Amino acid sequence: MLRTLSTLLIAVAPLCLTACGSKQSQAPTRTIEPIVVATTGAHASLASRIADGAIDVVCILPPGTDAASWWPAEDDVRRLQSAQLILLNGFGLESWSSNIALPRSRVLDLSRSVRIEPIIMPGVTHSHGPDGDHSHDLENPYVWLDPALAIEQTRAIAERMSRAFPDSAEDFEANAAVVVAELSAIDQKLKALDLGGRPIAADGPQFDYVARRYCWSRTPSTNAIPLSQVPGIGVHFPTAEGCGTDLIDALNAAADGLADAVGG
Amino acid sequence: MAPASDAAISTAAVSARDLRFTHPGARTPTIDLDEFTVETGQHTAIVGPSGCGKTTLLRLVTGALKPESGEIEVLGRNTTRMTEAARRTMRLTEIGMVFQSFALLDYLSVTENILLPYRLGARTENEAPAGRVPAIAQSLGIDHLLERKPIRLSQGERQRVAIARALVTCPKLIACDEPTGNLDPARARGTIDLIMSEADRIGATVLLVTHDHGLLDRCAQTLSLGGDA
Amino acid sequence: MIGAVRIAAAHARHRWGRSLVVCACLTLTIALPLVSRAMTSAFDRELRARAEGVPLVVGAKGSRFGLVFNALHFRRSDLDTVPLGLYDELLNDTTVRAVPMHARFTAQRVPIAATSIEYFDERGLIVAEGRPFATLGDCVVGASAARSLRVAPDSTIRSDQARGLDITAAPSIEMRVVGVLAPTGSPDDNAIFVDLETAWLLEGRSHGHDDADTIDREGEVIGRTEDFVSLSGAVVERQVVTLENARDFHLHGDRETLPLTSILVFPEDDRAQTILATRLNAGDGYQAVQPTQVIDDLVASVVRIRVIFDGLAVVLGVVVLLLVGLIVLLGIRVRADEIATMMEIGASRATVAAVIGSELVVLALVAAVLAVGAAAVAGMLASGLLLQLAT
Repeated sequence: MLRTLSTLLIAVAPLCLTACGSKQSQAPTRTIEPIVVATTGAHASLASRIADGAIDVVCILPPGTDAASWWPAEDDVRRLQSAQLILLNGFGLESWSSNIALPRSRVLDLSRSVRIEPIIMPGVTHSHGPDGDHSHDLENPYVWLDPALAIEQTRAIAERMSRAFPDSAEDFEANAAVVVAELSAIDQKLKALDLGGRPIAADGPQFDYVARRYCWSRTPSTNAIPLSQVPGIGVHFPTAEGCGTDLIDALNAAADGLADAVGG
Repeated sequence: MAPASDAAISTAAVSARDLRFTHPGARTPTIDLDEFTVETGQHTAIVGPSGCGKTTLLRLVTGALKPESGEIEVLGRNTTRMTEAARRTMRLTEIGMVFQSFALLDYLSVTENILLPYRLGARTENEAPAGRVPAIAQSLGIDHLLERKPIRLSQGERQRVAIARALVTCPKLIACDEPTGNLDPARARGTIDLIMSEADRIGATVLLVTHDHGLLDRCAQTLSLGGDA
Repeated sequence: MIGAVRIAAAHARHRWGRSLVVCACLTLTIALPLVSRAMTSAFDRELRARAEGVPLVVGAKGSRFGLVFNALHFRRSDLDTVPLGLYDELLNDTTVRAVPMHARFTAQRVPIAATSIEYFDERGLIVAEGRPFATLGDCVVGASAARSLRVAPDSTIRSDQARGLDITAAPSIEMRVVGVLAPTGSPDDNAIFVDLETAWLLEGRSHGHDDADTIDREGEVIGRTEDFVSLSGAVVERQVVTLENARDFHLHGDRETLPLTSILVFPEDDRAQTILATRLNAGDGYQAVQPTQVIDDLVASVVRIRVIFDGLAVVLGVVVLLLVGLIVLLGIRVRADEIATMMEIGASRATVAAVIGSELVVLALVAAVLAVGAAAVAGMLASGLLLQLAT
């Protein structure tokens, strides 16, 4: 009997040992890179101007790609997950963002930090059963093209970058002030335009926020009718969403073009 | 009483003088002997009717009982002047005992039963010298039974185990209390022969309590108790 | 003395039934207080270690225990949820770090902890095999859960249906295992980690189906206008998320109101913690609790229960000692002849006592070793067991 008991004890002993020794402490292997990732060229350019080389700013959209139709590949997800700060425009521009595991605390969704009433673009709504109505109406994402809203976004980006990289906070605030001044100048330029009550024929929804800001009436264009045949001042307005585009340069160019068109 | 008695060099295995012992509650002494001597090698039978004190005398000799008065000298030492612990040690190491019903421990193997005098000793090793048990077992013809328990042995085999236990310490005195009590005369004789021959082989003196008069011829001396039996 | 022990051991073996009973009684007597102590201290130790990692837990008002066990041990709770908006609000507070938690579902009875990728950093979790979850439907499995579910990167796990008989409940979803965590010795080992979005998919808040514009199978479209399509329940919802069909999944409802079961909060200092806790607890819907305090209260009540166990153990001990004493006395009586023989051969009273007593000592020692073993095993099983009792 004693033999049986001792066998039993020997069988139990290793269990106790593994139970006591199972804890381990290792440093997490995942590292957060000190970079800012933006999803549009416009925001990347704002962030770059604020950073002024102090940190890397990456535009994740491949050149020539439409932000609304882009979907991140696995490598992109990894880059997003390891970024210190992710700039999203919101308003449905990054439709992938709700299906990708982003580090939520390091995401700056500009549509939430800058409180504005979005312009709704008609889209398809669907509903099913007890879940109730569900709207798939699209919000116009081109907020940044309104210089006044771009100023708000710049401030939000600078504030978040200062929080993420506190060592450079002072520089960021100073650089952001320069950006804000430049955007204010564009705002003044646009505000000064006298359209004489004529409507503007724009070639896409990107013009909507600008038109709303300056109370310009706008003839909506569709793909069916070429811009040249739409009555009003024909304007080509850039989206500035592609990577490599500088928002301030693009807005300056657009403002100048608009001034020319109005003048002519 | 001679004060020099325990110092006297004696060749006797056992000698007793003026031995008196009364059982608690008894009115007359159970043992009342003037003189009793067993010379070394002189196998002695103690006979007498039931209740005459044969076993009591044997226990007085082995030191299990202490006399009221008188002196007993066993193997050259006066046991009446020894401490109880010394008498116990003497019993364990120098006196072998065979009991009437063998008194084997049923939960111990034959080997362990034989080793009992060692196991019960105060010494730390509690072991017989190597080879002692197999040698005794062989001479008694029980070497094939060493791992068995007593319950699986025949009457005769058990008796041999009991004898082996008495012999394992190579005692100078073997005290047997009716070792043939349950046996038929032929087997009884065989058993006594075995004890005597083993005792002769190791030079031990046998003290045999029996009521079987047929066995007396194997003894050099007979001590009758309780009248002229 | 060794000889006496050998005789005692032989006797114990011979009377094995009696020895077993005595040994079992002694084991029980010794084990009861040891096991209750081992269990409560393992419970205490593990709960405390777990609680110490998270200074503050925020959730809906209600049971503090339910909230803490939901946030730290992924136990389903009956508490209301808190909206994602509250988490967003906490993110805007520069003095705290916050990690969302949604633990309501299971897959093959293993809890699904839906959170944000930052959870891994806060808890120091290492993806030993594979990668962290990246998209909807990805999951990372804790070390022991991976063993028990027999999964590795590239295998799949199907979530358990929320309510078996409710046909309106969200269907179970096949999740893709993308990583396995290194063991930590904490409840993280026995959990399946997914992104919050996946939990909302499990809740039926988001779902995937073909583009409503292109659905034209009979019975699937109830009504269609230029800009509105009403779909019937016959539309087949996707139950597997793949990289290809991930775009078809979309949320119904306002993002701000999406449910969380709790939020883990890591304030930068005590002051920030006090301010946040005071603010949240002053309001109506939410509570902010310190897990260590909640665990202290819980352990205190467990210790109170242990006092009852200790009292029982004392009573049991007295009864068993009396019984064992009786067994020994009876044994001495039964073994009177044997004892007489031993003394006749030359054994001292002490030796005889050693023969009888060492048997008891040997049995008591065996009982003690068994009891300690039982306590060790109980300590190992304790946390899981008591956790179930506690929640």
